Amino acid sequence: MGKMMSSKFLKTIIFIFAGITAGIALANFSAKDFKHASIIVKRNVQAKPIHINDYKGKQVLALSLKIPDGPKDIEVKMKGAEIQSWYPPPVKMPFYKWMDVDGGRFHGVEPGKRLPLYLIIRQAGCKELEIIDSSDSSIIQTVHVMRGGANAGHH
Amino acid sequence: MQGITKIKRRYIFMLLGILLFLPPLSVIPQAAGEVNMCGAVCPRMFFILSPKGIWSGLVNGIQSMWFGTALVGAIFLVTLFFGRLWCSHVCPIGGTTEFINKGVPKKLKINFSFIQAPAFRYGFLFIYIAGALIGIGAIACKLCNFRIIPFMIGSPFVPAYRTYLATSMGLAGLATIGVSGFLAKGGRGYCNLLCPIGAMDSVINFLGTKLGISKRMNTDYSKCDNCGSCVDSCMVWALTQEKGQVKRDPLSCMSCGECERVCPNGAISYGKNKI
Repeated sequence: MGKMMSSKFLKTIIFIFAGITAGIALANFSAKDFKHASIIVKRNVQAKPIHINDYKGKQVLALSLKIPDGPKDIEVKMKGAEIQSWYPPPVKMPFYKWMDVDGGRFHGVEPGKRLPLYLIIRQAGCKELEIIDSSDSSIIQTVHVMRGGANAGHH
Repeated sequence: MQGITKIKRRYIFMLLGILLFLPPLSVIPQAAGEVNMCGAVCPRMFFILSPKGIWSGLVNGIQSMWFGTALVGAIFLVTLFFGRLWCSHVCPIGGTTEFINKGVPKKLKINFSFIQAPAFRYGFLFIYIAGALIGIGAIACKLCNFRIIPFMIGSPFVPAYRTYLATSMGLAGLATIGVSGFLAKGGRGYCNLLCPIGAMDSVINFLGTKLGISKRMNTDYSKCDNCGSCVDSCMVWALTQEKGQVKRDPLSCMSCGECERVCPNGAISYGKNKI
């Protein structure tokens, strides 16, 4: 009885550690061709640069863009990058507050609305992401996208 | 016969969950102002302990993921009184893996029952909730089943979904859900080992059954001849045969009713009974 209890206890301990190990492995998992970042876009505020991997192949930068008090018409631009949005949903429900999306151009954005974007970067070097107010073509914010770790400079 | 009707009802509920939550319709995410199960609808992130401040992080998480928070609250409330009906009957993610699993040849299915699921699950959940706080890192969005499955189903319609699935992160996510979900015996390996909502929900279920307020699957041992059919049918390996008696682990049981369906003696039923 005692032997059975102790083997059960040992099995429990082993699998708790297995779960912790799987968790640690997953927490440290990173893909060289994929990076996720969130930006809260504010006018006249210097944005923190985004660091992507120093990897020469195609990279995907997943951006969650939030513009708390931004204009309704927004354009997101980055030279040498293809911009894709999760919007529109495949089937639009009649109650869904719809905005028009065309590549990096959004019309009828509600303030504070989250804009999920994928920037597909195929060219080497650092990039500049421009978030533009389409109504007067003024730049709301520029975000530097740098290759390499946190100490990487523009190149 | 009654068991078969209940199973059919479960499949109808699962299909309804898939239709309401997943692309191409995504009715419920769209009602909450999203297009899939991320953002305000995300049910997997608001409870993660933030290194920037536990309380402020929680408040921030609840505010930004308000629908996901409300959904998890409703799931827990239902579980407390009726067992894990969300996981077994409604969850569109678990439902999808289970349905796809039904099309996988038996030879290819992997039996994960050698893993002591509750121990593994809570070890993983600890890192999931506290990993960022203790400096290990965050898991939430990595290989997230609430992202992979909607993106997989929506990929014929949305190019951005295909872009994600073609990255190493997307492929690793597909591989994880493929092995632990589609190929796992019963199709619920991911639910049983890696889903944080399932892990917390199973604790609520355990509390509910301990307090005697939760409905659950019960075995009438006077009718049970210990044939083991129920053990083989369990999707989450919650049933085991020990010393000539079938035992049910309330920390894993999803109240799906599969065991009730296969029991030749009608020994298993769903109802209130304190452990």
